[in-house]
Amino acid sequence: MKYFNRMFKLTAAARRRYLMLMMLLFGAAYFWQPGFGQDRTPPAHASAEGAHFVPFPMFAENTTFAPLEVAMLFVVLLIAVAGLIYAALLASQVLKADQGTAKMREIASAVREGSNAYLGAQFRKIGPLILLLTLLLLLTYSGTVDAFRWGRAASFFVGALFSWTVGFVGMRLATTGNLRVAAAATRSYGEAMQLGYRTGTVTGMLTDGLGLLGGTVIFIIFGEQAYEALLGFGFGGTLLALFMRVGGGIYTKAADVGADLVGKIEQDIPEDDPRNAATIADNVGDNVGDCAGMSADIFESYEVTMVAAMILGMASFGHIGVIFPLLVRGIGVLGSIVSTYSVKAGKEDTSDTALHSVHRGFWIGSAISVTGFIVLGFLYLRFPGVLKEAPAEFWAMDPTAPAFWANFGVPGLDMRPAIACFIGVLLAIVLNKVTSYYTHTGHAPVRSLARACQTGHATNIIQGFAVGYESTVVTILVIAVTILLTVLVFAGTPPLFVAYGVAMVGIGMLTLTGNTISMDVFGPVADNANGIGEMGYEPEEMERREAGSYKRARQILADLDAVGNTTKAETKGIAIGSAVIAAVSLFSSFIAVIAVGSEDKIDQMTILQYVTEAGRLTIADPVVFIGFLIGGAVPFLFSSMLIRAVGRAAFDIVNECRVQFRDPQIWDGTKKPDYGRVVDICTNTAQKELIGPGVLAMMAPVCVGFLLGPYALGGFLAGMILVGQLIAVFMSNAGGAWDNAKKMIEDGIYGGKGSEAHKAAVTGDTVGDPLKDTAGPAVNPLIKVMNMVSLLTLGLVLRYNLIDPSVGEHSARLVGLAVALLCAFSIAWAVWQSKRETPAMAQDRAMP
Amino acid sequence: MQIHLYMLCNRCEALVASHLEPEAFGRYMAVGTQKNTRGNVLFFEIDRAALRGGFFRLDDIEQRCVPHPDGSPKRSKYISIYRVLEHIDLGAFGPLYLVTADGRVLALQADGYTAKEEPGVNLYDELCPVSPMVVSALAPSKFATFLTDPANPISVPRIFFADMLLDRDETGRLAGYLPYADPMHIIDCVKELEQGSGKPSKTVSRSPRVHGFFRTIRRGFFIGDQTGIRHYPFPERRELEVNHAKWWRSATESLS
Repeated sequence: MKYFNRMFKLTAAARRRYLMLMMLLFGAAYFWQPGFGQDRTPPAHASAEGAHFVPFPMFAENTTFAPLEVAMLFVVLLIAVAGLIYAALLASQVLKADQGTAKMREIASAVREGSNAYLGAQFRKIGPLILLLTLLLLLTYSGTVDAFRWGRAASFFVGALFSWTVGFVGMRLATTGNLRVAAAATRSYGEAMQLGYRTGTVTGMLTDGLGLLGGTVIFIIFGEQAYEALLGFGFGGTLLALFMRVGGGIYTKAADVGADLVGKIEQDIPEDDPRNAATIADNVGDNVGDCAGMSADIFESYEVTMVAAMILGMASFGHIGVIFPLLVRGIGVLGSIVSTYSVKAGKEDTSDTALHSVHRGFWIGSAISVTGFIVLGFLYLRFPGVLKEAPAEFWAMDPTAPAFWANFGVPGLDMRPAIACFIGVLLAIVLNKVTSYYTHTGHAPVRSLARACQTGHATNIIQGFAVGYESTVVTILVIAVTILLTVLVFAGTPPLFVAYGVAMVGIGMLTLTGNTISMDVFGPVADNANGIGEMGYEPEEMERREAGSYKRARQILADLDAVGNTTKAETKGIAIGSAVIAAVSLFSSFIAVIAVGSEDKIDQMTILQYVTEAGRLTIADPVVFIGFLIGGAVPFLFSSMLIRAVGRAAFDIVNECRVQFRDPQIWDGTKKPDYGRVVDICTNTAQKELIGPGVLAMMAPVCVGFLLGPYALGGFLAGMILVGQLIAVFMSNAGGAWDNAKKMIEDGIYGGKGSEAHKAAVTGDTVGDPLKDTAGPAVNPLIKVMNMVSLLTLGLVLRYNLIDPSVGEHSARLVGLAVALLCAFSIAWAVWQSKRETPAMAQDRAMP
Repeated sequence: MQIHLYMLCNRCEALVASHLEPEAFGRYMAVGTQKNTRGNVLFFEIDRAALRGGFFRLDDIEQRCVPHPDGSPKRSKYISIYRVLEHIDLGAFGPLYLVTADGRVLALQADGYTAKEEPGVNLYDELCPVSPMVVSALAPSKFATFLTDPANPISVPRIFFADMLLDRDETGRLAGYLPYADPMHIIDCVKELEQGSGKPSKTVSRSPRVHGFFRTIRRGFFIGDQTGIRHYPFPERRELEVNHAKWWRSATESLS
């Protein structure tokens, strides 16, 4: 540059003008002759006039639905309603239970009010955005059928509403159940355990029931093209889940880290000490993070896998391929009802036997589901000559005569979708085991962390990184093997069928959503109950009534907390795995949409089109590779924003707690701290902080799509799925391992509580906290939101983008550039926002 | 306002006058008014009437220890800060107060020391006036007598010490839940005494830092000299969990 300036004797201003001119020239040239000399012929789209809509097609005159199919769909609808009724019955059981002493009720009420305030504030913040997006979906629909335009927008709204309902009711029940569990622990282990698990089951069955109800009603209205509306339904659920995960994650860890920093580290007081102003916020955080966030997250996975299965089912197995996932889900809900009810604990049970009972419930549910969908598959999956026409070179076998193991010699039968569901159930079990291996105290990885604590803080951190990295490799290998198994099951068929198989793996994996969420929500309920016991039990009074009762009740709560920690950790593996499987399925749907130009023509897609378009998504194409690189970077940026947000919120909480601790009466325990102020700080900060990551999640794929075109967007998704999965598993498992290493030491090894090893373990746990409870879980919905946004905007991206607009006009390029710039500015703003200091931080920095 | 006399016996050795009741005094000593101090505190309440001799200047204590102008009590007025322990008669030592890092206070009353002194190696944390941690083959009363015997080349007039847990696992190593800084070294010292090195005691550490101090206490605290020994028995764990739940939780959960 120096020589360049000397040679041309350029001033700085002249240099800027020259660079500007060159930019404009290159830009103009690019508009005129885009691409890199490659063949970018737009895909051979099907004709526009093909798509049309008949409402309630199963009741139309010349319907393709057999009477038995209609009956089965109504049975599924009834099952969904039965799931909801079961949830309502359990909820009434929980509500009727004893609520303990006035002091306990007062504490539980503070937690409940804080949780309600948080979700209320979030609803007020997100509500207008949801309405705006509903309108946007209505206006930007790129298909030709108006019914789908309205159906998609309305479904989006309902999906968001359902997702919020699942989160809100789940959290509400959890904040009600925790008190009852604490009260029941004064009587017996079995009663407390059962109440806690049933509190979780209410949320689980609500997720199951609402998910199935939404999907089935949409299917009944839209028929085989239900995926049109389900895309909106899934997106609504996904977006809300992202906000709940992000907001809940920031809230829970800001409160936790803030409470720990001031309470444990600065003031040396125990956890849940009522003198700590952040104690209630910490308990509220457990609910908004683990109940509301996780429920909404699983709800959206539930929907998204259905969307992907329906799109790909339509494009591969046709009519039956669309209905089968719904029927499988119906069986899953039945399995969940039976199996969750079977989870019971006796009066004298311990944490080991209780955990055994929870696991037995999961096995019973799995057995019912697998038996159910194998029988269903045998009866229903008959394809006499209905498989799509395809050039012979794509079939390595006769499509109407699969191998014996796939049809047991029955002509027309094809059990492969049912087998894929079975693989999904296996995947859920294996991922449970892998997560358990890397995060449970009984296995080598966590033990190695605890051992590393003996030599200091740094060695614990180093070992945690090693364990986390290893776990992510194992998890991705498990998922890879699962997909390979699906490929083998569908060997000889075109890739589209394999993609459908992968989607069915996702359907199978989430068959037992009811059980999964029951296990997850049980964690924060037990955790909160323990907190209520700590703050609300009156030891002297309890001992006066019955000697030994206080100690026994505390032991019960501690045991339940331990069981809850284990079950909660196990479900995290399923949440991440389901996100990846859903994303892979959506990715296939994405290719299918590129192949035909818009999703309303999926039913007209040929296998040749799919294979051709899939072949064009190669990183040998520099544009695709650029998309791949950007996609891979986004989960890091997203995580960085969230982790920073936790730090910022924790800073404010620490300051507030310090101020309150200066009050001698609070310190003496004669005055109650102002818990509400910390709850308010957490609520407001979490709302503010979720805007930036939300903008990034929605705008990044739009920016890449409109700037670099659909293939780069495909690359973007691929990179994002891969890196998102790796980083999410790393963060969740490393954080879980650090947490449990600390618990191991606290249970009495390497010196126990207060020892040097314990301090190192506390450091590891603090580092892992925002990873495992904020950034890690939020990457799941991020992956799916980006996929859904890509799918929904793909029609527009194909038409308007800078590189390769299908309409081929300069105005289309300009529109693409304008949208991309707008998105880029939004992302830049979001990143800038994520780095700003809070007023308290700025004031702190300004001090000498 | 009534003036209490307290003797601080860790961090520093001092006789302090205060208007505060023992619990408030303990909280004040542990966390201060600005919450800038931290750490466990141990102190005795001293019976002023039982103090004999004229070592401490107490006759004008009423003039020196006066409430603040706003009427609030005087929290601490230091009377003496050096060689205090030896100048207080054994009979003047009242209850021993154990204060956790966040200011929870537990009072221990002295009893006549009648425990059967079993053979074996003990771990003692000397707290005042010197503060090494030692393993000793001597039982508490013999240990106090030995350490305060002027015939020994090294002795102190009086000793205040804690009897610490020395639990071992089936392999002979120190139990995993004990938070001592160097468990292997402690076991080596114990083995040396067990193998009959001829020494009654062996120093484990000259400046021990025992994290989770209160949960390592075994039989309790002892204060003794050539004339006798006072024992402040530490409550059973069950009693701590039930009757002193807040103190015990604070003592076992805090990081320091």
